[in-house]
Amino acid sequence: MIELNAIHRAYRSDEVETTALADIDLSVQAGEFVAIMGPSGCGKSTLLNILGTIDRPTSGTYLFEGEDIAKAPEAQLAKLRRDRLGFVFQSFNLIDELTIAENVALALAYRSMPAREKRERVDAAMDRVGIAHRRNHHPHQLSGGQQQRAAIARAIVGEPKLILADEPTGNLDTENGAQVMDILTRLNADGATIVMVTHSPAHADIARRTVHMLDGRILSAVRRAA
Amino acid sequence: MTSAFTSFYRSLTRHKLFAALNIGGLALGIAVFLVLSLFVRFETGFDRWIPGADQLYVVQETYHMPGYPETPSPYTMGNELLQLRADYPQLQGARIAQMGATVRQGSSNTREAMAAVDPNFFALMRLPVVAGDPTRTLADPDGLVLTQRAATSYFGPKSPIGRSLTVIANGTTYTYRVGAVIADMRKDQSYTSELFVPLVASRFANEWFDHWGSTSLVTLLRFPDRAAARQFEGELARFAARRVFGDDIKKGQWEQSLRPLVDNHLYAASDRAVVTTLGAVGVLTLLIAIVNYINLATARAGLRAREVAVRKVLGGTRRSLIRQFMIEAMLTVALSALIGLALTEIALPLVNAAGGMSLHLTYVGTDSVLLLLVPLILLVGMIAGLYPAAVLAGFRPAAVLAAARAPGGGRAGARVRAGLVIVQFAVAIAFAIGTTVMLAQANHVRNADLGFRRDGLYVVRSLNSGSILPEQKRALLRTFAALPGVSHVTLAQNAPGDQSVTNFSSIYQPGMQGIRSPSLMDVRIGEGYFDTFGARLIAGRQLDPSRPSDDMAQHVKGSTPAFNTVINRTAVGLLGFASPQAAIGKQVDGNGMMTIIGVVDDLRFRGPREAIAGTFYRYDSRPLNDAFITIRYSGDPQKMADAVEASWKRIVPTEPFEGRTIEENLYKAYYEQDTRRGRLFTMGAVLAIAIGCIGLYGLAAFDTTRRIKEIGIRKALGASTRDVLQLLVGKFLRPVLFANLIAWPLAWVAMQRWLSTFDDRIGLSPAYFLLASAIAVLIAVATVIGQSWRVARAEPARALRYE
Repeated sequence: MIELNAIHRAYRSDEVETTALADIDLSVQAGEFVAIMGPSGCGKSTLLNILGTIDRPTSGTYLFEGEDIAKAPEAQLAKLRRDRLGFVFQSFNLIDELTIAENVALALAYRSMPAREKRERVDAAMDRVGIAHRRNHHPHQLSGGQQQRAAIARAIVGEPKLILADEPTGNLDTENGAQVMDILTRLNADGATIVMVTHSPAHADIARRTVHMLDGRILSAVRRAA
Repeated sequence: MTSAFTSFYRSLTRHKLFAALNIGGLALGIAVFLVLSLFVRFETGFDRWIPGADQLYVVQETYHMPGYPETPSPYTMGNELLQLRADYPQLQGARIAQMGATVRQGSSNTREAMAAVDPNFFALMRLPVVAGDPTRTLADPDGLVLTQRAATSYFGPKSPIGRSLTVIANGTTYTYRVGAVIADMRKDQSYTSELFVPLVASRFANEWFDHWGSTSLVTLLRFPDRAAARQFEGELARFAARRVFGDDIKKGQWEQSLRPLVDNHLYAASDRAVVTTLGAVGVLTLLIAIVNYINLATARAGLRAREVAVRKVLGGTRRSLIRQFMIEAMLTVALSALIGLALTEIALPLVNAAGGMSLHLTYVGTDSVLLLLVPLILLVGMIAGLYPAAVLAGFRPAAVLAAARAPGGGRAGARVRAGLVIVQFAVAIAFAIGTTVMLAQANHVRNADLGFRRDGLYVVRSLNSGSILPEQKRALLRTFAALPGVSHVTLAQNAPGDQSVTNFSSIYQPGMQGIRSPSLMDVRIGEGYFDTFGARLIAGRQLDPSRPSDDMAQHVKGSTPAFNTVINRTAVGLLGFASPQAAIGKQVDGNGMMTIIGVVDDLRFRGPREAIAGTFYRYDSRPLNDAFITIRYSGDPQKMADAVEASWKRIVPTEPFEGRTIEENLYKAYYEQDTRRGRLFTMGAVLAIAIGCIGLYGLAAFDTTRRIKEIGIRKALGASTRDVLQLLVGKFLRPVLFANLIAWPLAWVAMQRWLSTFDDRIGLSPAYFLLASAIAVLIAVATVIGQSWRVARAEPARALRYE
């Protein structure tokens, strides 16, 4: 499904060039659950952002379902994100002014589909993560765990092929973290491909493969039997 | 306090864009407001500065006759005051007859404005005296009162008192002795003159002077208060019954009333409307700027929420925070006011040049601009500071530090800001529509068919002095006609933009007297009149100098047969003829029997505001008194003007020459004031729109900055750059579009009223509304799109990291 070859990402500020990613090769098969681990600043989030096409590599190729999208035009990338990707962020990134249901529906806002179908899919997604009873609340009225479940509902409502989760349990306590991991596991079992950045070895263990990173490079990949 | 100043300084330098928009926008608004309030004060302050002006009244006359304008005229018959005094011995009054005169010094002749006044004139009109005693001076029939300017121009720096001056008026040469000097005339003064001489009937009374129905001069009356004036107004009806009504003027056709001198300048409703409108433009522009300021200040306050939260965490009390914000707001507004004042000083010379005024700022005394500015600073500072102060000081620190979107005052704040944008743009769009309509009307007036060709016409205006002999007039006509490029020359009582004698007579078809007897304007013309103007003959024939019955000079009064006349299209309708053709050959009565031999299309010689009067033209082969020579020519206007002036100086060396192209003459007489006021309005409107855009720009900048992270989220969810642009621009466009709903009816009513003051006017087409609104929307989109584009295009990953 995903094939990264010699991906390089450098940030340039006035005089200093910082290399965030160096020579990354990574492939993810459809249906995989991959965890990315490593210390802060090692490039995990940058890698995830590049996978999610919300950041661009400085060089290298990125094949998504066989298509090189490293230099694809912005409009094509927006379409890709809209139709095939789902994001879960550590800080949830819900919009305060919108209700939970509106936040979830946001992922469908840019697709043309009948309003009824949108409503049904939003309801189904919220049901799936157990947040339906909070549909008319605003994010700040919810606990962290509930907010993250809402964010997951938003990520899956579009039925994406690939879910990218950036430390989805990082801001949650153990119990809520476990709930979120349960949901992700179920989604994976139902066929979604998941790439997740995490600090928690326990959560990384739930994934079928763990990629370890340090200073912008991949150290090793641990693969477990399914 | 020091920390408040430091914090103020830092908030200015930290958010440079916001500070510039905030302060610049408000300064601009204050400048527009100051300039226009000076204009309003100037226009409404006419004559009020003259001590006792509120006790002075002008006698005015209104005719109630078909075809005759109903607007009151502030002139009376020459001797009315004498008759009034005979009936009411206690009455205080004075007359002023304004005219032109020629001052001769050696070989130089200068045309000056002169006024013949009763000796007690300056006791009523208490103009500032520089030297001498004007009242005692005017008791002497040869006494002369001069303005300082005239005194200096004729006698230099030395005292003019006791010196003599040669003045030619109505063709007679007089020697006057200077007895007093008064201050120079002001621009905000109704009755002005450079020379004042005693009103001696034997010198200045013409054949009409003592006839009711004629208007020779201005009769001023003085009453202790308004009630006394109103009471005397009632007496005027009884006076008219005793003295006026008879064969010529019948009861019900004519009445007199009193016009307060201080109301004289803005007596016409259209003039008052213009001043009110421009005043409203000033107030509304200031309002827009204040709205802006508050909008930006509250929006910006949101960006400082973190600072407030930290200050609170560190123990800042609500009170200390409110104080800090209030001081900052006051200081910012004060800075804006200072810049606005500077802008006003810079703009005033330009405005004075564009508007033909003498506006200036006063800093000390009761007129001081500071009396206006200081309360303004306090008020605006209070409103602008209080809201953000309250909102910010009310933030809960924990919520602020944890929120995803930077706080902007919450939903209520956003709604208030959207409402303020609506108000602002409603005003701006209404201004834009107003400007469009005014420009369209101005364009129409410039290009409208006036019934004659206005290019290639030159008018000689200096024949009115009375001292030009008939032979000289004939020589002038001959000489002008022989100039190269000249095709026609005519001598007549009127010309476009000029009329020396305005007589109306009741004319009727035989047997129709009193049933249909409209007042028609009587215009006497010389040879070649219609050909010179290129008037369109629509029925019958022109007046022909070779036929005795066409020539008034060969007509003996009271004799038959009737003499011939040409009437205009309006007169055809007023007299009750079915068509121009039907009028030909018909006889009409009222001014001696006349036979209508031709009908010409209406000639609009007066301004676009005045209705065209029904007119009958009579030809006179004798050189007319009080007339104008109009020349039809082709070629360079300047060369023609020079050639005409050179001929004049050869034939009439004793009289100063005055001539203009017809375009200039019409402009000076009718278009100038509208053009100038139109310019002021346009300036105000453009600035109001600009200030509105500054506000929108600032708000857009604020809002997009605040929503960077949200945009990142939306993009991560698959929103394209276009989706985001639509979202951001749409958000600002909605209030702008909504503003149209408010602006359109407002502008429609206002412009309908304005246009109704014109007789010759354009229709109020929806196109002006659509055009102005389209422009406003375009400007709004252009204002917002730059920022939205920048944010919408950014990499989402960067946006998501944004704090």
